[in-house]
Amino acid sequence: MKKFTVKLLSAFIIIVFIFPILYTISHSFMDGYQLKNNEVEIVPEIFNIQQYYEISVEKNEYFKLYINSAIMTAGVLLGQMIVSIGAAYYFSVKKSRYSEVLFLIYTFFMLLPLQITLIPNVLLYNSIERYLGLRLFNTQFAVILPGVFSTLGVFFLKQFFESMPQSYYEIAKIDGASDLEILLHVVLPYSKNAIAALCLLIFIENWNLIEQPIIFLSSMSKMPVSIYLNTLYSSYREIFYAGSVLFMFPVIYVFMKIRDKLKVMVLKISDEGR
Amino acid sequence: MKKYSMMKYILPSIFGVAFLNLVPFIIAQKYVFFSSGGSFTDIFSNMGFIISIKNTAVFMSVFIPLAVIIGFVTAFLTEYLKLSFWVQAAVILPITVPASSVSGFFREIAASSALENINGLFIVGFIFLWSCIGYTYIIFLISLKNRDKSIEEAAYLDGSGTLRTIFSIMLPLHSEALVLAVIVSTYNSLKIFRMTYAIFGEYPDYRMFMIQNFLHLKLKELSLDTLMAGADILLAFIFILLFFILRSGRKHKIKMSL
Repeated sequence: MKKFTVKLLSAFIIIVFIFPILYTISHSFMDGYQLKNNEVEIVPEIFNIQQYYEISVEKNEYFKLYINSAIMTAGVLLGQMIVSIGAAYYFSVKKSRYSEVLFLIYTFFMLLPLQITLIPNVLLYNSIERYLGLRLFNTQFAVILPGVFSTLGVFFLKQFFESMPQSYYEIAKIDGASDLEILLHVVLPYSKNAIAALCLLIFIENWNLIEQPIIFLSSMSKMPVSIYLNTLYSSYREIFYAGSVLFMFPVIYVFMKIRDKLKVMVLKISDEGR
Repeated sequence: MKKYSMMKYILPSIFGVAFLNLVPFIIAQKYVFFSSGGSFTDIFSNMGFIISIKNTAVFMSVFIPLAVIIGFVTAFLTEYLKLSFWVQAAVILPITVPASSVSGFFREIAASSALENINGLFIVGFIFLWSCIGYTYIIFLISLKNRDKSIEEAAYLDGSGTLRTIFSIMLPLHSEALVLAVIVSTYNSLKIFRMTYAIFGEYPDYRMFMIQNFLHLKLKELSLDTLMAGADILLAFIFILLFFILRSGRKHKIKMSL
């Protein structure tokens, strides 16, 4: 009896959390006629892949914007990784009052919502345009740059670099390794699961860009898919759901791929707590 | 020379943070403190600002506790009833899903006639819970996996009931996770703009118009006086909140060690 209740409860939790995703997927196989009658239906009347055909053949701008999304995400991911690994390495090795205050400032910046951190970015771009004549607005670089210097990665990695036993560091030092060699051959291999987790986090965050592009970009051809999908819903609902599924696919795929790495990391944190 | 050899690792980051965030923000304070009209008195007579502050306050005080409680309950059930891996994956999955890709579902739910009379703020709250419970869930799950089981067993043996054990033994033991869960939920609640934009557009119903929407519109207009005054108020609020959360976290720890 108890087993049955547990099964029922599990099924309930799974359905509640998965439902919006299932709904989107099932709607991507409906035809335009069924989508237009405004009732909430879940099962497609006729299973068809018309939506996917249309989005890939007839509205091919979708894929151009898909590539925009990929470029911006890759730019932020690569840049933020390099910048944060360096900064987190500094914070984990250097212990002084200044570095602690600095880290506190970093933490505070991490907590700020984008509506605040975008203000100084806009002001900076405005003055660059005014004094240097360099127009950054409406370029994808303007979106990538603030993402590279987001302090989330520094905060996240510092905790992990610090969890490395101090003796590893000292042994490498005695063997004559330089700071850079220690970083590359000791610290990074030790924290590869944390780095994978951070990659996932940055990927999720930036694949789903909304705030930055609507402030920095003005022409539709430079926008990421996330913004395009918004306009698609009202104008071409027949293909909106197929676009949604294609858009969420990479994130879910990557999540499933590095699931095991995350599990290992969670266990590691638990071990250290003991 | 040796003393500064580590500096090169952090310099790029410091430059970026300083020039993109810190310096322009400090310079922009001139719009608040040295402008001709009083920005702070102006902003409190701004109808949009008042509404947005009110909505944000209601939203945060209702849905942050809910996110923490539901996250804890789900993690508790997962750990004690040994729920399967698929439950864990299902609860965590929504945090990976982009807002725009599920906006179709939520738009249709919000437009359906059954929810016509419900305050829009609660629809946003529901969406917030769906998308952010995964974070509090992970935090509590790690903390629960990590616990010392003998303390609970001792409490049971001494005749303490389940609820009593949860409130007097477990919550104090997991106060660190609790503080972290509150911080992360606060952070996520400030990010809810993404969802409201994806689902309800740039100009949502006034009942779900929050401080983020207000700042967004002011940034788009570039009306810097009001924008900076509003941003400063939100900044001060986050600062105070962080301070209190960290302090209460410290207090709990002291209690535990006694």
